[in-house]
Amino acid sequence: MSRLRRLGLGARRVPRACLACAAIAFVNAGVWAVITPPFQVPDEIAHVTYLQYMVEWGELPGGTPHGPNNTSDEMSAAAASVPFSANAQNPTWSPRNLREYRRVQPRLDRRPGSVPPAAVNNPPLYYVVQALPYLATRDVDAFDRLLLLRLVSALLAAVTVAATFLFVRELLPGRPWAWTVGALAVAFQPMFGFMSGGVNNDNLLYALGAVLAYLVARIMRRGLTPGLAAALALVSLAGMLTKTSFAGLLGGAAFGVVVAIARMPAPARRRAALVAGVAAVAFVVPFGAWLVANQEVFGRAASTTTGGFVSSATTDVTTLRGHLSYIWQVFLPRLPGMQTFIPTSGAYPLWDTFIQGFVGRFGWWHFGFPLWVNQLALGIYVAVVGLAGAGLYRARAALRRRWAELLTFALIAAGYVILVEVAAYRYQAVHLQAFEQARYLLPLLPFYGGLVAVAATAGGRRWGPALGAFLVVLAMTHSLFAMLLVIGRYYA
Amino acid sequence: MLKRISPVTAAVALGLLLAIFALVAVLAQRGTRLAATNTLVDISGVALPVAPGQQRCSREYVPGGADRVRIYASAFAPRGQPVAVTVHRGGEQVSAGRVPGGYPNNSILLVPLRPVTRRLDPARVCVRNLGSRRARFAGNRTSGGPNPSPRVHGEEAIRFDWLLPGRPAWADLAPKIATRFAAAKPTFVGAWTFWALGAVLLVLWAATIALVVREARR
Repeated sequence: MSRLRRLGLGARRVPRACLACAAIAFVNAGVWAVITPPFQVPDEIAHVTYLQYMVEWGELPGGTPHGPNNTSDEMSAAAASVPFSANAQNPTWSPRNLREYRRVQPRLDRRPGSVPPAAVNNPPLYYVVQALPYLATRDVDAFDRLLLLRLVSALLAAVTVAATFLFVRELLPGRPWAWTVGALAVAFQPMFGFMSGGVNNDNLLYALGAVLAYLVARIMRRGLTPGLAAALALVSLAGMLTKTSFAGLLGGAAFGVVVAIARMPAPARRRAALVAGVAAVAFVVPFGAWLVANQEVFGRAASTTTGGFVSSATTDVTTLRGHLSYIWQVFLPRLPGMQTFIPTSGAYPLWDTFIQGFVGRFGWWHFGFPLWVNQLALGIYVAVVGLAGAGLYRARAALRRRWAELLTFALIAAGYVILVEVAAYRYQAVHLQAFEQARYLLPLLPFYGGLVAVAATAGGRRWGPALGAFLVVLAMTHSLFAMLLVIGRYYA
Repeated sequence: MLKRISPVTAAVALGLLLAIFALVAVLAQRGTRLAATNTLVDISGVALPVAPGQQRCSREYVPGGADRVRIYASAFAPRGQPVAVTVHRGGEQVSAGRVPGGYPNNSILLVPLRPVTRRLDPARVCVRNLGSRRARFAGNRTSGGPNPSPRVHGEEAIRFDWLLPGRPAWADLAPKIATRFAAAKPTFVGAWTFWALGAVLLVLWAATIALVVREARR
């Protein structure tokens, strides 16, 4: 432990409140894991199939398929026994199909021929993490196994919330009560809870995104130490081995590291630059090795490293101007002369997709709260942003000293959003349909937690904790009604 | 007494009051509640025709306790045709109901049934057109609306939404929801799990509030 302290990792003692927030997040996500019917979390069956393919065949998917079926017989039978379709309808609640599935399950083949497109291109880290619980429950009922896999995702939610707590601690070091407020706002965010109760590699992405935000915040506050540099390299590598969209976070993170080094006194600066260089090599070399091994050793197709976004089918129908126009129209009204896109035509993705989706859209992105609830939530979000502005104004003296941190966090968020929107533009150009979902932005959750915490500080020393407590109870209520919405949809 | 209440306690109490008020308001809401449905889509994108005097039948799961079935009719004529719905099990008619014609195009028909006391799985359910002109009824596997999803594999049938008697509140439905909750769940899950999760949430809320109040004093 003392060695970790010397390395600057701050592992001296994790605050008990941090552990409590993490435990709360785990239990909340665990409740979601039991509430949500199997395979009703987006792409869950695709992610389970990736894991099953990897473990049962002993190889990564994405190379030559073993057969035409992109789910195993076991998973197909299990999915068929679930009395809900992807549209969340057909609730007969009849136990007949389940009984039939349980009768034949021991004889069913667990080896899928291939993996659905929704997961096949992913790097393997999340599935490697899930391999042990899969192996431990290989021979049990598929729904029992699925619950255990979901609980592993719930553990990752605990990591995300703990990292958010530590991030807010760096952000507001003089307001210990606000650390809990920021972390719990994230723990009870309904889309986060819903996703954390499912099998999806996004969950590891959220956790690593939150840890990255914490590390960058710590580096900017305390300077770059060898331990922090090594941790940053490790987390960056893990993120890129989880989902390539993690790359969107790295530009802003690199900016933060450069700023942190530039702020250090001259003798320490040279050493820190050297440490940063070594960390960069420690990240780039293994990741490069993975890219080579992905094709040469594991025999995976080139599209598994790029998601197919650089194939001629995509590049032939995309332009730089189109990228800019699309990103503009996601957030702002279309200007005369701008190209029309199917996802943005007659729609306003910032509101329709991101804000309403953040309030809550569940199942396979098929149902959410009534419009008036979304409008009410928007009002609350606007009030929180307003309070955060007031909080920043109150802390304007500190802000003058710490503007570079704020800029870094903004760059991390902007880099990630732009990467998601570039992917969305390229996807819609080929598939003529929308790509974005609010869940894609959840790697930015620490900033959401930070925003809520800063909003609470607008109340000052006397009213701030009360405002924070009220915001936490609001978040809990939001989460509860999201659970009731899902229960109502599937079981009422 | 009031002087002793800290702003944090007051804020938590206010938040809890709002939450409880909203919860009670939602749970007390009465409305038409499903006993079961055969639809695999939110909005049907296909209408199945039934000629005058003819019927269209399908094998269906009919839940116990339903006293109405909801079907979605569209008419070729300005006014809809009279319709009868029958439920058969092993060649024997166990329930039936009818609605008169004259309803507008694209109507939702609530056909009253002799209540089915026990679950029928499978039953043969038929919709008979008692009128003199063709009628059409929404199907259950092809989606329509602004965001149609791919057609669900299998034979298209008329969509049947089986409804529970009266207009129960959500709270009245809770025991039924608890039973349904076990559908396609891990082997250990039963109706008890639903209530146990409620208890877990209560403890979680209490723990969270205790944590927030404790940290607010720091």
